[in-house]
Amino acid sequence: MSAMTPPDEDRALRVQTVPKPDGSGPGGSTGSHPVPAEPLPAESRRLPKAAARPAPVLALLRARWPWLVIAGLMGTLAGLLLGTTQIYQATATIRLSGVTDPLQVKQAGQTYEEIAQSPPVIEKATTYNSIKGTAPEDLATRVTAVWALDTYLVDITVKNSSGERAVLEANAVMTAVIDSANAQADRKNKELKDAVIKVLADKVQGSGDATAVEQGRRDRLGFGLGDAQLGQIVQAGAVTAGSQAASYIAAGTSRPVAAGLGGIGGLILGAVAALLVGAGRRRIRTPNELRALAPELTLRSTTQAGEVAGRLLESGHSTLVVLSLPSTPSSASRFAAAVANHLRTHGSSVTLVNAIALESGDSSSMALPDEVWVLRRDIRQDVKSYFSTDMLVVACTAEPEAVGLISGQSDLMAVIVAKEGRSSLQQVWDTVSAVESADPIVVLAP
Amino acid sequence: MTAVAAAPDGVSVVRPRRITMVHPWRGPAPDPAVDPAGGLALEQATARFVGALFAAMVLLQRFSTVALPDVSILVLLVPAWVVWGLLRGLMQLERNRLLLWLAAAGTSAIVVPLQQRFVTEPIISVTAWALLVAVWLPTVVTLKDRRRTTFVRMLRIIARVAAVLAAGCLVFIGSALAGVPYQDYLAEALPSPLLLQDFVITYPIVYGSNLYRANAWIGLEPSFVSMQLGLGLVAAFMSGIRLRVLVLIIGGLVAATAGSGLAIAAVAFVVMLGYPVRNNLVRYLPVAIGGVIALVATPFGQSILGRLTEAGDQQSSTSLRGILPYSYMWPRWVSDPLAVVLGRGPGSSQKIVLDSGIMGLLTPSPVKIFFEYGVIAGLVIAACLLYAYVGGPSRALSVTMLVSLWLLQPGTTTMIAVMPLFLTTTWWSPRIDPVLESDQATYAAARGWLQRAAVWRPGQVVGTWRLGRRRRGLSSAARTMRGSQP
Repeated sequence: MSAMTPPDEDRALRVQTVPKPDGSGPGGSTGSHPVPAEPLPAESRRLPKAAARPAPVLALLRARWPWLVIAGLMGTLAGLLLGTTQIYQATATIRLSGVTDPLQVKQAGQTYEEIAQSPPVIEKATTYNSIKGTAPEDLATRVTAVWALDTYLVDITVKNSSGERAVLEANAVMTAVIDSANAQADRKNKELKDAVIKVLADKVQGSGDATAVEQGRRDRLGFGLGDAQLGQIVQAGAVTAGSQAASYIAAGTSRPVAAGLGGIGGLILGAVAALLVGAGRRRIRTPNELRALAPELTLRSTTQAGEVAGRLLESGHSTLVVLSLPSTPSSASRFAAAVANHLRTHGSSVTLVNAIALESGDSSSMALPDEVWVLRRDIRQDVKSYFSTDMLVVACTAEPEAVGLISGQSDLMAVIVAKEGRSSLQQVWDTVSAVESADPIVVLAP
Repeated sequence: MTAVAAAPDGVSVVRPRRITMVHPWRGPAPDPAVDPAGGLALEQATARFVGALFAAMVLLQRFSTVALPDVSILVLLVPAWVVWGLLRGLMQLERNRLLLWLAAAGTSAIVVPLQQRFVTEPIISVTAWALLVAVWLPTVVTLKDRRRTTFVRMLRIIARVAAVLAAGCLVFIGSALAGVPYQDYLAEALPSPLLLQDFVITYPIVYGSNLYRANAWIGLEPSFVSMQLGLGLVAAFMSGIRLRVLVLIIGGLVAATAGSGLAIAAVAFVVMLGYPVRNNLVRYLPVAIGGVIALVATPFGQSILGRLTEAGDQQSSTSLRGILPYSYMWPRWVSDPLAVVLGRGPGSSQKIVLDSGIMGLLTPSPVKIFFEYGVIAGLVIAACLLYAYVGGPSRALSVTMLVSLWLLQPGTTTMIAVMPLFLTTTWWSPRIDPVLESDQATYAAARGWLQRAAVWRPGQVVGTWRLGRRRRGLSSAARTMRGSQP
């Protein structure tokens, strides 16, 4: 500042704190000018909350990336904890034959679905050497049989944490189904044979040509037995091995897959949370971040005081208000002084009013001094008369009293000074919305 | 802008050569109020963008991704199309739907490990989950230009594509009537890995007949072809296409001999009865009644008539879509309380239906969502899916798509069934004009027909927006505007 300030600073650049207005009421004076001492409007101590302005999605997700990472990790961890050992399944197929009618095929197929999962068959399967030692109750819970629609095939599927074991068990169950069907057929054959033998053993009672009658009876029985045996043979051949299980595939998800899904789910839900919460409470860290989150803002840095001064001169306005967000009073004061110096350099005479309570500590000390009365419209529109200078630069905190005096007006230029890592986006938005008519510039102080 | 041959009156007509779209995050699209030529170019580009995707859907519906033979190529095409739309600046992200889609995808992913741990006999297919997420991913975008004029222009393109499809169906039936036996030329010409398998491409209208349900040789199933034609019929009516095009589409709809397209048209027209546009519907009544009487005399009409009363038959198509799935799946869902809460696993409903041995049994959207993902994740998914029907420019199209996809079609992971919803409703939401049905003057079909029949003269009915004269109006406006340019 010293390099830019000409020697006749006292003449052209009046850095001053304006005295409090006369408390005697309207007509009080500051120097030679009457300064009304109307009390400032009593408003809420908070600026009205700006309407939600959603930040661009990608910028928001980029700004909240730690949320996504943490949620993704939590999901992965949950998936790892909840995931179970990989289960494998192997399928053996039995083939139905001897039936051609579609309805009978369906009935036979669905019957064998039930047979394959029935306790006797499962128990029989566990007696085979290949899977000896398997508990029937355990195997029963892992076997499913499904008739494939419009085919002669019934798939017997067994699940196991060991793929090889699943193959053996599927083949064992298939063999048990076939053996069971054959045994059933044998038993029926035997029952029939026994019945026939029993009939054959019975002698014919009565008179007549006993030999001829007996011969005829034997012939009929022989034919009957032959037909019955043929039928049983056909029935016994109704179930054969379609294909043995030779390989196994993964069934369901493994622990890594569950972890992956959990991670993806967590990541996505983290994104949902980030989008729902928005960027309002986020403290701005870098100018680029602010640009990304609020692209519609006019953003400058504290080193661009000259550009702001130039804008003010081009605009034709005579008042610049530098609004300080909480935690930025010194930055705002310095920026206001820098702009005033630039204006002076351009040949304008400037009155700089620093209405910022620089004392920090308790919140009461941050209450606005009464100097904000200089923001009154009548004073701003007649700067020359009140201050005998061309320009008025006012630095004040963005409290309702000060903002209320300039809100909705466009005959001044407003600069809002925020601080990296301290000011939140919502604070910026609230202040920008309050002085939107003045087309405010946001200055981000490091 | 390119200067073209001078108009007869000596005014230099300048035609927009190529739309110069502003990048989505670098600035807005042309404002039609400020830049009429830019607005018109945007309108044309948007309508063509959506209409071309509809045409691609019709043409490529039988094609599969070679790497995943069971997955339709449309599952890849639509997201790619969306990316292209974003790059061209025709589309933008829609925040609410993005949030819902993210919530649905995240919840459904998180619930899978829980199913594996706590549900008795879960059936989990990660591919099925990924398919659900991928199919509904295009809901997260919306078109930038959602004006009514753009929507109607897009409807005209859909109607024209449907008319071509209908012509294909009529040729299909005509060849059968001429004694040419049905052959699947597409399957013969292309290697099987390129085409989706296990779909009922077509089948005889009645058992033993040589007449097959028309699919124009390119349709995946007659029901899907019928659905596209039904949509085209509604689009044609709304966009004021000539009556002969309407009749052509109706002819194709009859040739397809499937109920899905008729259901779409019927529901849409019932919805229209609740809006001022019903006055135009009344004008079509004599034509419609005459058409129905003529139709029932044909085998196609008899077959369609049979569909109306078949719901009581357990093996009917209606029952297999709308009744049996619920009665069959309910006991299998409630048998395990944790399955009710967490679901049986992605793809489980499809597996159980396939294993049921009931041919033609489908899994409607509510069954699939809640059976597979349970009540908690199911509600989030349902919210995501249902929100895609909200805010479209046409209430009739929104409602008819809802009825079709939630009650009649496998409308959750079948891209060919879901795509029409995106094209006609979701991408046009939130609407910026009142619903189309609220303005009877938009339905120029009736007016055009009446005009040609010398019953109505232009200017007789005053509407705020007149499609029938829109072209001429725009041309003259464009000439006026462009005439001032050097």
